This record gives sequence, C-alpha cells and structure tokens, in this order.
Amino acid sequence: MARTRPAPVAAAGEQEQAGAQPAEAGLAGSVVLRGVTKRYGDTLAVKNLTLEVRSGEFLSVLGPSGSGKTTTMRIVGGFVAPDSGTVEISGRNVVDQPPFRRDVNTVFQSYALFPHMNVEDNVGYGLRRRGIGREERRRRVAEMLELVRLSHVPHSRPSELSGGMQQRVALARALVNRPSVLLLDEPLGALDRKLREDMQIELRQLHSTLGTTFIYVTHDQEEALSMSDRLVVMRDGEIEQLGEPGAVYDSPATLWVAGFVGASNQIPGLVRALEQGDAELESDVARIVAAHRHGELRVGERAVAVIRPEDLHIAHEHGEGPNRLRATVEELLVVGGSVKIVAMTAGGLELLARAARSSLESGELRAGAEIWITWRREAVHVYPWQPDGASAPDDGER
Amino acid sequence: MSERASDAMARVMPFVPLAWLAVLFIGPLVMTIVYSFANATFGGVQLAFTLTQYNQALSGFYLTIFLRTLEFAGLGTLLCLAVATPVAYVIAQKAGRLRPVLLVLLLVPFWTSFLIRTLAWETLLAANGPIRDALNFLGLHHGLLNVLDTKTAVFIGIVYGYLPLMALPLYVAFERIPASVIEAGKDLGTGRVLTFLRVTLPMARPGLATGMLLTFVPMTGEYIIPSLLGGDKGTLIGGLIAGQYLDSLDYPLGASMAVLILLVLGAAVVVLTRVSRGFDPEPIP
Repeated sequence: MARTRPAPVAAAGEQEQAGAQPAEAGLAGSVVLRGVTKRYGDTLAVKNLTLEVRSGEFLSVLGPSGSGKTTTMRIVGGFVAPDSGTVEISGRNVVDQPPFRRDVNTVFQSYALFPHMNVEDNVGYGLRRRGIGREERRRRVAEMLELVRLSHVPHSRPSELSGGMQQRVALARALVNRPSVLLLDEPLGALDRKLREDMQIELRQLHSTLGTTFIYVTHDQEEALSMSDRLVVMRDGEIEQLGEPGAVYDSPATLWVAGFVGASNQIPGLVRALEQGDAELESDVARIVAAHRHGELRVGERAVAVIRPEDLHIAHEHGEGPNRLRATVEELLVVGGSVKIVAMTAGGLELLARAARSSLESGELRAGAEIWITWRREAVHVYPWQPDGASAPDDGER
Repeated sequence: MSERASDAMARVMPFVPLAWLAVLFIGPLVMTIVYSFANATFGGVQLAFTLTQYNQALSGFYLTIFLRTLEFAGLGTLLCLAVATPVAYVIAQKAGRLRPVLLVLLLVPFWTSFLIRTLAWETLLAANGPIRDALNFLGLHHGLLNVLDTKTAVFIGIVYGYLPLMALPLYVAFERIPASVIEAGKDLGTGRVLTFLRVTLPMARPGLATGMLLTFVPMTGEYIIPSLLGGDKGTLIGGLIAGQYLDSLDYPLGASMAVLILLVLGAAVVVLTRVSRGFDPEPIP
C-alpha cells in the first residue's frame, strides 16, 4: 500500500452495516462499555470497566499479559459474556448477542485462518454465510484482496503463505464484511520486526481508507504509541490511563504507567516541600525539583521522581542548583543517530540517558568517564511511592 | 568394538527389521497369493495357475457373505463415526478439567480381553437378560428381547468394540483445532451448528480418515463378534476364511477370499491415507 493504491474500493462512503439491525445515525462505529466486570474463578479479569470508543478512531488497548486487555476485547467481540455491565456497539446494546449478530469483526492473534480453504474462500466465508450472491461475493472478495495486495494468490492455501500474507488474509476476511468496528488482537505479534513495521503502516493506511473503528490490543508499547489516535493503558483489569499517545507518554497518570509506557528513570526520595505546582524531593543522589505532581503527595513521605531518558542531559562540569547528579558512564550504546548512555551513581542507582551521537565526537564521553547529569524541572514528574509501582514491566519492551 | 565391526553392524542393522518382515509378513502373504491360484486336493494344495478359486469365492453363498462383510464393516464404521464424533468433540473441546478422566474411561475397556467384553454383551443382550429387564422396567419394551443372534446384536458389538479406535484419532483431531479458528467461524456469521459443519468437521478430516481406517480394516476381518453375537446370521468373511483353513482344509479357496478382502482393504487404505493428510504439508519459512 506504500505504492500506488488501486482505486479506493469499499471506501467509507459506501460503508454498509454488517449486523442485521441498522445502527442509529452517527453512532455507527462507536463502542461503549459500561460497568463491565468479568471474573474467572478467583481472578477478576475485568473490574467495573467503563470505556467509550469514538466512531472511526484507532484505539489501542495496551497492557501487560494478565491486564484484562484481551478479555475486554473478547467481551466486545462477543466471545466472552461479561458477568455484569453493558456493551453498546453502534448505539445498540449487544451484550446478549452472539458474535455474528454484532457489527464487529475480529482479527485473531494467530490469524485463525481456515486451513482447509483457499485464500478466496477464507475471505468470502463471512459473505457466503450472510447469503450474499456469488457474483457480488466474488467482486467484493476481489476488491478486498486487491486492497491488501493479495490478488495474486487467491487459490493458495494459508499454509502456503508467509506470516505477513496470512496476516493480510485475516485482515481481508474480517474487513470484507464491512464491520463498523474491527477488533485486532495482537495481530502483529508473530511477525518479525521489519514486517511488523511495514504492517503497522499498512494498518494505519487501511484505517484511514476505510474509516472503520479499530480497537487494537497489544502489549507492545511502541506499537501502541506510534499507531493510535488514543491509547488505553490497562492494568489488573482496570484502566490506568486513557488519552492520546503523546499525552500518555509526556504525562503518565501513575507511576506504573510511567514505568510501563516508554523507558524512564525512577529516582526514589522523600518529599521535602510542596509549593504551588512544584514539588521538591530529597534523594540520596540529588535534590530534585519537579514541575509536575501526580497523586497525593505529602511532605515527609516517600515519592518517586520520573524522568525520560531523552530529558537527561550530560555535562562535564559541575554547575549550581538542584536537578543534577554525578555519575559514572557504564556503557555507551550507539542506536542509529543517537547514543544510549547507561550511567551509575555513587549510590548504585542506574540511569539511562539518550543523547545525539555528535556528543560522542568530543571523545570525553566514554565508558568509565565521570559526568554530571542534569535535567529541567519541567521534565520531572513526581508520584507517591507505591510498593509495586516502580517495578519494570515484564513484557513492555521487546 | 572396533570401528570396522561397528561399521559392519551399522550396515547389517537395517536388514534385521526387513528380515523380520520377510519371514513373518511377506512370506505368508506371497504364499497366500500363490495358493489362491492353486487347485485344492482334499486337505492339500496342488500348485497351478487357475482362477477357479476366485470364481467360487465370488459366487453364490460366498459372494453373499463377502458383500455382507463389506456392508457390516461399512455400516459399522459409519455407526462408530456417528457415535464417536460427539464423544470426541465434547472431550476435546468442552470437557475442561474432566478431560483426562473421560479419556481414561474411554480406554478402560481396552484393559479387559476383547473376547470377555464380547461375551459380556451376550449376557447383556440375552432374551431375558438385564437389558430386557431395564427396558421392561422403563415400559419401553415387553416380553423377551429378540436381539441376540441378529444383525442388530452384531452392530451393537462392533460399534462397542471399535468405538475407542474411532474416538481417539477424532479426539486428537478436534483437540488440535485452535479455539480461535472456531471463534473466527462464529465471528464471520455462522452459529454453532454451521460452524461445526463448515469449520470444525472439515478441519478434523485427518482424524476422521484415520479413525475410519482403524475401524474399517479390522471390522472387515472381524471374526469373534459376529460368531458370538450374530449366531448363524453373523457369519462374515473372516469366519468363512477361518472355516476354509481350519474345517474344510480348502487352503486355496480360503486364500483367494483372503486376497479379495486384501484388495478391498488396500483400496480403502489408499483412499483414506490420502484424505488423512494434514493441511500443512510444507511450512513456508
């Protein structure tokens, strides 16, 4: 799709309702969950979750395994019935409707293609079940295959295709039904990095071509940050934060989100003072002044300062004031145009900084060098200390 | 052991199973084929090349038995399939934690001798046996039960005896179908029944074919069940062949019948193994 696209078939204009009942005008493609709870044995997979997905948006649901993101998606798809709460799709409560009566189609994690059917029959399955005539079916399948660039393999079996191609068959098989909402359950998880990046772009382009609402479940934070219009971060069955990717990255609502979304440095300390917007923290390694406060902070209590690696600056001379500390360079990792610096303070706190590669040229930045690290107060977010909040995500980064 | 000797060993080893096959399998098979074209003398064999035996095997009473055997095996296989499919499906996809228990229950009968299990049915199906009592008690049937020594009894017996051989490969096939594929079927517009017919069952095809192979082949040669439960109406080709060899001492006629049944089974094996191939013959890198 990066190349010239064949006529923009099946465009948003001729979007037709897949479900039997027509949706209310304006609500097509919206999904509203209200008070949804799902329990498996002793575990609450989803806790009283309320979420509004806007019509036509690309919403990512991000969370570690066990956060309830897949259960939530399966509740929308109709594969899991919630214990309580309602699910509205395109303005209609579908909580007791089977999957095929919902204006939704799903792209499954492992593609779940039908191995005994060829590509064409896989894609045409939904249309055939819906009683759409042969000619019409053939036309729509052909259109869809062209859209996902698979026109050359209509008669291949799924097992004869590469992972990326299978993925596109799965997409076509869902989208050919023209659902108002498309659910994608970690669809790129099985692909290698390069292919995954290509598919991310293709998915974005498909989304803007079709105008379908995309709900995209992933545990890959980079993917979620780069692809979505809005982002839901889930943890233990609850929404930890909902917002635009930039907002979630720049201002994580909780310490846990700060640790889960993007890389971050976390410096524990005690709250010294709280003035207007600012918070002052005393830690073993530095005195920290932060412009952003989250949660309930009290003077004298433990707190954690969070700073993104790109906000840490390297200096070689001592300066004045707060927000600086002394550290030793442990490792330098050149990543394309930038360099990752792993530094260790005297107290044993490991920090990650990112700088332009040009800063290496002076030759002063090398493993073992003593440096000063500084940052601006606007770059610091302070959160109340949580026993489990500071732990690194188990599978947040690949 | 010297390298030389172990080299020699390595060269000889493959011939051991081959020799085994030659002596115990290929030899008797060749002998059977040779005998099937021979003339019978009383209690002896006169080697020749004649189709007399085949003519006889494919005519009159013998032909009737031959066709009856195919009918029993064919119908028996289909009955097994009808009974085993829901059983295997439920164990594989719905049983949850009960699955191992149900699997063991399916296999328990195998721990007892086949002969004893079949004899037990003779008792159960007896004209005044426990099944009659139960049916009478439920008011479903009155008087004596006239099942023993009929075709029905034979069908009951073979379905019972071969059910695990059908159910196990089907179970494996159902068990290997990812839940997400079935969900995809439901997602794309088919309810339970249609999804089962369009997706689940076709995907279980390899197990289906294997199960049919494992039941049809031995059913064709079945000898014990028809003679115990079917009485004189139960004679099948297996019993007939045994009779030619053991009672009539007509080896060539018995051999020709054996070759005929072998041809039928060979055809069944060719067709069913072709069908039993999976869907992922060569994975693409």
